[in-house]
Amino acid sequence: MSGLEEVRRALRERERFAPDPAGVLAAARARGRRLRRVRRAYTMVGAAAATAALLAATAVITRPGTAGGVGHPTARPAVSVLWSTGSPYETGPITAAPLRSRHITGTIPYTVRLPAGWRELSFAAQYGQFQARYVRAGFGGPLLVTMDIVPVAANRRPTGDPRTGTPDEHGVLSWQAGIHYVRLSTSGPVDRELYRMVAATLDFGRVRPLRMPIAVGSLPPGSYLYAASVTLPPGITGYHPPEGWGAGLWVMMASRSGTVLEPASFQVAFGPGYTDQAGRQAITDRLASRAGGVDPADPARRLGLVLRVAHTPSDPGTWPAAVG
Amino acid sequence: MSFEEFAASRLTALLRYAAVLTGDQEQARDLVQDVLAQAYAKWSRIERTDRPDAYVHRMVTNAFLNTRRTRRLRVVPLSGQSLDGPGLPPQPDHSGPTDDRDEMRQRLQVLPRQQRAVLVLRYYADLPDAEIADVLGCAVGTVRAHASRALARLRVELGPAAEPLLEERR
Repeated sequence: MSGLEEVRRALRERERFAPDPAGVLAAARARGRRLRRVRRAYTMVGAAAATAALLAATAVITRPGTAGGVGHPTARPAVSVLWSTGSPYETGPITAAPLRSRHITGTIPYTVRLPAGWRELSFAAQYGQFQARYVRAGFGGPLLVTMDIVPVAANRRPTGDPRTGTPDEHGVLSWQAGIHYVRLSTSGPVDRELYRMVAATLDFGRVRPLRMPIAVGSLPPGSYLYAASVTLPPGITGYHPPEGWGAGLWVMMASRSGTVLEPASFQVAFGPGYTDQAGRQAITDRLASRAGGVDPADPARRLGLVLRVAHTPSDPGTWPAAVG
Repeated sequence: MSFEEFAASRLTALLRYAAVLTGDQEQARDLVQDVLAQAYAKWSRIERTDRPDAYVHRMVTNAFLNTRRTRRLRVVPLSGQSLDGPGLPPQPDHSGPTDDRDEMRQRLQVLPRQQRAVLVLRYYADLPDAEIADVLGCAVGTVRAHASRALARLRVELGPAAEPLLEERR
């Protein structure tokens, strides 16, 4: 047998690694349909502008009381929070493509200005919806305002007057902004100035990068981000998040359908700014308790992870600049 | 040719090709799945080309060449120790080769992707060098250089006994 025949035979033997066509085709069709929807959504909002904004990843954070933005190092986000124009209850990953980096890097898909005293507290993205919370110290405790951003739907109608920041009788102000429906609600007294400024300055044309101090140590190929929730260090005296953590990150990931993930497929690595051993142990324990939580009957074969960071990371540069 | 017709007639061969390229079932699945999803989303454009199958074949090859290292991470079992953060040394593989075929397979696997793609297109897909150059978007001379280096590397890795057996195709 010649050497070249040996090469040919070795190559042919690798055919045995070919996966099952049916599973691949079904998953590809599902993802292809999603890609089509995403493309249609981009077309609706202006494909050129949206794509350019995301790819360029022009990192701009607008601070309260300033007219312009503060630039961040340009970086291509590994994860982009994308918007769906379909049903708000549609289940699916919030990323259009599998994660390509161990570092979970998101995009906050807008900029906004807040009045003095208000800070951004948390972001959450899941199932085509986005939620941000704002916090301000108050006399009777912290004031929380929640902003929900969801796709426009026939049953979602504007309430209140965004020009003046006047909400309806329930303290809710909502309006349509392009393909988005924005809703502001509060845990306490209405701050009309906050409502008015958010409505006036909310800009979906500028995105911000969001990098976590935690990385996924072992990322199975084809993993998508299904949901993400980030709580920032609030930096407000007397305010304690309900869970007692200074900062938190909640991530839910899944393989693309058609692949069975071993429950032990994930591990967590820590960024250079995160050195707290107790925090590491907390994350390890939480992961270990979750490791057996995969339901193979789940068609999406989701794997949920709960990560908590016990302390504010020692490297604040890994977090987005706090607004306030 | 509709997408369904294409999938019915070509998918199995495409998966085998991806498996030969990657030498790994998970990577082959990811590769073809990614490409098929993209192809599905823009099939109306692909079906207008002269050879949709060749177009998708090229997409798979290019996706393989562009795959980043991060997607080749090994799945590491979860344990308290393995969760101790980055910087852990990779676990050694104690299995070792069992025979010459295993050895050849392993040597193929460590070839640079361009060289491996050239070998696969030449000796598995049996494409002429000119067509390989077209698929890879490079010159014919570059294809021959990649093939020559790949065969030379296999020859070295396989040891002196295999040297007289490996001859580059003319």
